[in-house]
Amino acid sequence: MELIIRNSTNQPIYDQIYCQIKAQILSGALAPGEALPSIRALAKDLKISVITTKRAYDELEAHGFIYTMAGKGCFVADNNLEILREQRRQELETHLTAALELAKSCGLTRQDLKQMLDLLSEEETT
Amino acid sequence: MNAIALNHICKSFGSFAIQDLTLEVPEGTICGLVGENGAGKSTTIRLLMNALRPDSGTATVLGVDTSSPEFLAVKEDIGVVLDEAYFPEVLSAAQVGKVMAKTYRRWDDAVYQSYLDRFQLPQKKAFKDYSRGMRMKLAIAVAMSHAPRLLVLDEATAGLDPIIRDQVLEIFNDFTRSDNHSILISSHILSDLEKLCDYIAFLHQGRLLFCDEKDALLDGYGIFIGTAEQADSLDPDAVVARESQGYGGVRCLVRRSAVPATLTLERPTVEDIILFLVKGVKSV
Amino acid sequence: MKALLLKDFYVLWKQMKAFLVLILLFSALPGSYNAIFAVTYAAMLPYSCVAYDERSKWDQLAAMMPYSNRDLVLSRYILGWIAGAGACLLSLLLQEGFTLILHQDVYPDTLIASFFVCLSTLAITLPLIFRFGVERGRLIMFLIIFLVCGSAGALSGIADSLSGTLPAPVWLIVPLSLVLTALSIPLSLRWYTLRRR
Repeated sequence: MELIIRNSTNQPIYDQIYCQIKAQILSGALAPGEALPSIRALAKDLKISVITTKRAYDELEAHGFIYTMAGKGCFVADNNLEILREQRRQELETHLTAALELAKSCGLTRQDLKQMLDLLSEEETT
Repeated sequence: MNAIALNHICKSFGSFAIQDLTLEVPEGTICGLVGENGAGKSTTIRLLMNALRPDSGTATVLGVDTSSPEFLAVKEDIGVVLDEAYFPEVLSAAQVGKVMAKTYRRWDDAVYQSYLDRFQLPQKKAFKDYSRGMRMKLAIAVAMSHAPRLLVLDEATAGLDPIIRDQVLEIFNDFTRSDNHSILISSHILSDLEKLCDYIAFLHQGRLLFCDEKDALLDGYGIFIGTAEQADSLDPDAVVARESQGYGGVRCLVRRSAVPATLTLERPTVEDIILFLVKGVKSV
Repeated sequence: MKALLLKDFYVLWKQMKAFLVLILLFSALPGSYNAIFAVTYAAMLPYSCVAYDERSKWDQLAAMMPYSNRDLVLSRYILGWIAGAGACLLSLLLQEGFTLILHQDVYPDTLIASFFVCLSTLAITLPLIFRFGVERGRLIMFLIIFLVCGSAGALSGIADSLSGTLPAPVWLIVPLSLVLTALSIPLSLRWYTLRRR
């Protein structure tokens, strides 16, 4: 597991941990069932607050990414990865619908929108 | 469970008074006690160790009422480092070790020796020839060598050079790897506390102005930098304190929750927040 | 308790070597005044320790450690007793030695009586030290020195004039010193606790 904590950004530290662990679970870098470091060990290794670390883990657990076994620690949740990916797909759909509506409101055709998307993804790949 | 719980403590001596102090340090956490000289930090520490009796209110440390006779045994579990209160000056580190071995039931001489080595403290040199930093290091070695569950540290990083200070902070950080180990540390080096603590408690003229989770504090406030007109346009309820920087510039400490998320704010340090709050209090 | 006595021992050993040599010298010098002076002088050792403790604010640190008030107070008395008894024993041995070599008179009675004078001096002055501390109690130090020198002088005067046999009333010092000590310890404890409030 890789975590890079920055003090200079405006993103709260708990959110940095939450986002980075979540991203690694969704990408598969953290496999289902894999054990995460304990809250205390992670806090002390990163030299950050225990409370902040706990908050990040609580958030991850509340969103179903990890689960806690009393006395054993925290593990990456295994069975709902598909559901999570499905959730992301739905999220994407809402964004795209919004983009469509926005395009309509300023008179862009579907063709224009496709071109824009192609351009954007080209930019990303280069 | 709370490692330390002070409940409505009042204590006055002449012109100075601790007023209605309520403070909790949950077990397994590090709480930093901040305040100007004379704000009541050392008095607070003496009160919670039962070296002073409060006029009213109660103190519970590691689950035991400090005024009860059982508290004497609890002191075995507490490592204390005081500011400018030391061992008799003619003692050497080796002699301090022998005296402490008879003082604490769980004194571990091997641990003590390892700290002396780590801090490069001479065995035979008399305490009076120590520098301030060496005195602190010896006091820390003693506090760590009787298997404490709670460390109470009054200005324990004062007088240490930056490299040793970092080493000492690392020792304190490691100490709380066990979830029943807790620390209360007072310091006026706020950057040390910002690195180390889970909670920050701020004493001002004998009153506790706040005791908050450090990251909640840092995430909850922002620093706005702009012109006086821009600052005037901010919601007055959001601005905690403001200061003029000269040439028309203004810095304000604002509550993030009360300003639009689009407003560009700089991330404050604990020091920024404390300094602004002290100014804010004075202007009221 | 052991820890506190050990600490006092280290302090005395390191810093009071001159002081101890003085006691040794006085015990060894022929003549009862010197021997008695050595014993009563030993009663001053606890005050030296108190002064050293105060200089480095050890009492504040000790209040954070698992020492009871009773131990902190009683250790001062015990140190005084040990010092007095030690000086008494030393004098006795040395004087006996001199007697063998120099055929000089030795007065074991006066030495024993002086030990009880030492007890009384401790009983009177220690509570005052616990109340005011050494720094603030300069006057008390004068009282102590006066008591030490006065009683040593008086005792040796009596002893010399009666060539070693003390009159019976002098032995009243034994019950007196015991009663004083019995009253003194609770008073010290009370005043010490008050001072920490």
